[in-house]
Amino acid sequence: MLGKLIKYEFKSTMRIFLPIYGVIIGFSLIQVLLDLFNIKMIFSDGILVTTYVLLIIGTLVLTLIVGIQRFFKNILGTEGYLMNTLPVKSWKLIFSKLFTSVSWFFGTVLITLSALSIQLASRGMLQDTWENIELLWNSLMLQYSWNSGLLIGKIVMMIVIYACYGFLMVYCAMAIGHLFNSNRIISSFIAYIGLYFIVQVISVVVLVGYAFVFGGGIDFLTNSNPDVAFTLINNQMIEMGLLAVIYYLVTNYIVKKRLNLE
Amino acid sequence: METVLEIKGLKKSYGKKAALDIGNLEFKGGKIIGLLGPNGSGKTTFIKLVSGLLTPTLGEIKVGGMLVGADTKSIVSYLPDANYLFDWMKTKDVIAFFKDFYKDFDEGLALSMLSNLGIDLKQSLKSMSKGTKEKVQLILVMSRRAKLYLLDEPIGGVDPAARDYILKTIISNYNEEAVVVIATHLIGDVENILDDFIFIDEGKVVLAGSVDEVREEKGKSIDNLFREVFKC
Repeated sequence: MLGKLIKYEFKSTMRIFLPIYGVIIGFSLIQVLLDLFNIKMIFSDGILVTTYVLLIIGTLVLTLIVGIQRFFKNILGTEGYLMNTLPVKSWKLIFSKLFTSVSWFFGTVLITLSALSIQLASRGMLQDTWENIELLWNSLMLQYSWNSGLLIGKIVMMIVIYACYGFLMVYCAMAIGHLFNSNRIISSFIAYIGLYFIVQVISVVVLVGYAFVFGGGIDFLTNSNPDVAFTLINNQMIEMGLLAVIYYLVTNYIVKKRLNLE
Repeated sequence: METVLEIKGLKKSYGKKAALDIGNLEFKGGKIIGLLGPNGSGKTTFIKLVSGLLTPTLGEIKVGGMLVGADTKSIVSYLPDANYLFDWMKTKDVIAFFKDFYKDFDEGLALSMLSNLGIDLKQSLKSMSKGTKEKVQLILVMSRRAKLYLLDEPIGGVDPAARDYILKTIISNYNEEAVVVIATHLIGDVENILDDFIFIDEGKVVLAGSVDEVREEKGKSIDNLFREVFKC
């Protein structure tokens, strides 16, 4: 059933994302063609770049909004009548939303990078850029004797955890808002602020903890030793991962045991 | 007959106000039951509680011996009083959706009913009239071989000719072991297909019994009885 839920979630959302991805890629291709035939646009390069950057930022924001709106409308809103009477467990419903939203987030990042590559390639800069990145990367690997596979894995994992954490925190806030009989949207906002506040408190506590562990107050924050930075990042990933699991459990509890669709 | 739906000490409140307080009820298989009451009497609340869209404040609800949850949803076929299908889908997409999620969905039956009513499989739900959408929803819901059908105002938005077809559909499609609960205030239209009735008002059961008994003993139709009980 989980597979089917994810399938329909992709079907519902691809109607929004695929056209936008098409526009982003199309926009890059048009610029390539203009460059190729040396057509001078009436717009300056500056305007084109600005439009392009805005388009990408807009798409990223939209990815977040759609992810949030899908959960709100499809589980806690009118479409919830259909979704919550399907013979599926609530954790699967929530997971299908999370999985799809995080996938589109990655999709948007990949499309953005592809569009950028098309532009660089058209100006004959792709190879240079890659070589520069490679050089920088290799020197970093050598200098700190890191394993590059491990580092890439870690970066990807970090993005996944951050994205899950972000979406689940909003899901959780909306689920808490749903517990109220009226003003559920406002209650959700307040719940989000509440969760944010709790996270801040936890961060401060953890920071104070570090100060004791490393000694010397908050000097560790300016420590140039990358291993210290890695420890901090690792711990933060664990912290966010744990919080994401808690958000997931709370959301699931409310959808399963405290649902009240008006 | 086996008990399909069992309700114990059920109460649903919003804040201090009780929306439903109906105590114990038991529904055995093979019956069509009218849940009848004026607007705002608690009919929809009852149906939503049994389908799992609302959580009881007190008491418990069992369908097929199981507490309401993912397992009961596989044997409950629920028709809400509002449009609940995804607007971006075409008729054939919703058929596929039901086939994907409900093991008891009879695709052949749904297709034949859709063709009887002249509904195009390629038409998108967005472009359908309210009445047509309601017909599609009812066909989907009645094409399941469920143990319990919960129909919230199934004929509220359709014309009289379609009403007859829908009621016929309900009678001919539910099986011997199943229970059909029809919540409505259009009593005259449904009374001929009902076995039992429950009058509900302000969240409480006012009167319940067999339709035939009322007709034989009191010489009244349920419609007349309803008008008497709920006289304004």
